[in-house]
Amino acid sequence: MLDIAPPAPVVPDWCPQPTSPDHPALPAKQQSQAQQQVIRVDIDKLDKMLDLVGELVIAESMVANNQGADRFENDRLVKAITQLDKISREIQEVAMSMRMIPLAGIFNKMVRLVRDLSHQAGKQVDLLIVGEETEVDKTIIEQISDPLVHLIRNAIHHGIEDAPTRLAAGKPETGRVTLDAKHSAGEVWITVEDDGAGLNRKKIFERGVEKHLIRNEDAAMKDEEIWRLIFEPGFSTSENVSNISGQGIGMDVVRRNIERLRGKVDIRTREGVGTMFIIRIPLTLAIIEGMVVRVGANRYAIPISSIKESFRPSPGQITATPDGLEIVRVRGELQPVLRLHELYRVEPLHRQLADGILIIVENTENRCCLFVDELLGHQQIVIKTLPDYLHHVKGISGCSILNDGEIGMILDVAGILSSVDEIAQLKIN
Amino acid sequence: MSKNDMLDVELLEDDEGEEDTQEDKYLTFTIGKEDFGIEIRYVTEIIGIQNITEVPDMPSYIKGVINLRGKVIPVMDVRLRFESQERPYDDRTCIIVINIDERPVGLIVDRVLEVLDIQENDIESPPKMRKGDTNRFIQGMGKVGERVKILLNANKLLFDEDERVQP
Repeated sequence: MLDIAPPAPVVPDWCPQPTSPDHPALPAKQQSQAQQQVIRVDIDKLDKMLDLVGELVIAESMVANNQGADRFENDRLVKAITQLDKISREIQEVAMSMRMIPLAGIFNKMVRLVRDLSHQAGKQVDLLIVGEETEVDKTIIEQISDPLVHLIRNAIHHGIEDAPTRLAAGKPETGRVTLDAKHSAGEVWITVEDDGAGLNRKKIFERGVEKHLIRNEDAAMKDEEIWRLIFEPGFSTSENVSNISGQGIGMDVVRRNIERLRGKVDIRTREGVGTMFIIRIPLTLAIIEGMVVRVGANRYAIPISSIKESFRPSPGQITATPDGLEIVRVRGELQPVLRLHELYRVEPLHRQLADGILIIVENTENRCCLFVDELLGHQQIVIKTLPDYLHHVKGISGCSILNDGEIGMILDVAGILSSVDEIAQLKIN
Repeated sequence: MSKNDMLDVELLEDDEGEEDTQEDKYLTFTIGKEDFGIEIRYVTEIIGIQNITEVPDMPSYIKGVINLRGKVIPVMDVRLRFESQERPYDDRTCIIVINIDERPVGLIVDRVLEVLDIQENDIESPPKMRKGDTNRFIQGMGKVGERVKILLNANKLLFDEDERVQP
């Protein structure tokens, strides 16, 4: 049973709602009463401040992890460190919130888009906006606009049926697109939902076969896997490409934009009832929780959000294909193994899979096992970009200063996952 | 790895007025038996050798990155850039941090000597005869007393693509 949440019966409130970062949930009424004081600050200054806060977080964790300070005998030190930790986390939150902007600006632009598009398509469509006061980082605002426009275009063009079809199906003549935003456990969820025809499994499947993305024998694929096909490059089920959708940017661009923000897109759909795209993006882009792992002499950080589980494999779980591709069986599912030491060409501590640790990482579409020497524990990772002098490094999304002052590389999980197929191909050839 | 006995020549920012006093001044260092020089206006500081974090997929002369007071800086082993033999680092090994176009890079050298005044008329153009292709990093040959200092072109050293590394 698919759960398509019924849209909350909220009337969009078009009056601008000033929100202060400290009380994002404050009702609009109360806010308009208190005179809001605002100063303009140069964004560079905010970024500089955010950088410094990042340094502070690193310095703080270096102090807290100092082996020299015997923390069990020094009660006052422990207390002081705990206090410092609390304050630095709060400063970090405040600094982050200063870059936060409500989504209202972008959401309200969609009103016009929906009006124009529905006019062009000759359909009647209402746009319902919920949670426009939700605040997100400025970077997210900049990056989310294109994907939203695309999803709404798709909803109106492919999702919502024309009026006679709707009436025949017992639906109201006017279609509805709902744009909803909310915070949920360190993430912002933005959903684009329509009450249209829903995704057509058969059509998508046929199209997938036609485009050689899948084969006829894949008929037993799960629904979710079928839906994910629409994110593949070059995929479009629409028979007639119009000027509304199909302007050259496909759903694969939507997915890529969102993955650049380290977000995910989920699809829920039911035939005849509607489709819902759920975009989940982590709130902070500069500081993440990371798992630090060791491979040989080097340390790498893996974003916790992409780790599914980690375990030490038993030799019986591992199968090696004749071409050298290793596959591990976890509770009935087979996962390809990618040895990080091979990817990064370093000398590992362990070569036997059973001596090291396997970490299952995933994104919306792929999953694989990374082989590392050992886990070193998790910590707050302040993301720094690699110096431009080094250009782009494959499989690395940045670096971070670990709590002993050394540098660790941050794994680009999405990049690694998309190269897994390539690597498997290489081994077979 | 004693950082204390390293000469710490933190230079001031490149101000207009500073430019004049920095002219004709070269920081000299040795690699193997030869003396080299680099224009002082590029140099921001000299530090002792530190722990270097490897970065995958780099040419051999890029040793990795170091943490310089919270800044992540790439380091290049100038020895390997000249395609000479690698040599284990010791307590005289230094990293000269240079800054070109706001991009700081550390250069690993055998040892740092001193800052020298080399007048323009004491500098001869690089030898025309080509032997190997590391000549392209040379800006001129500075004559100082009996010795000759090979003056390096910092820009070429950093940004000249090594054709042979290209796939």
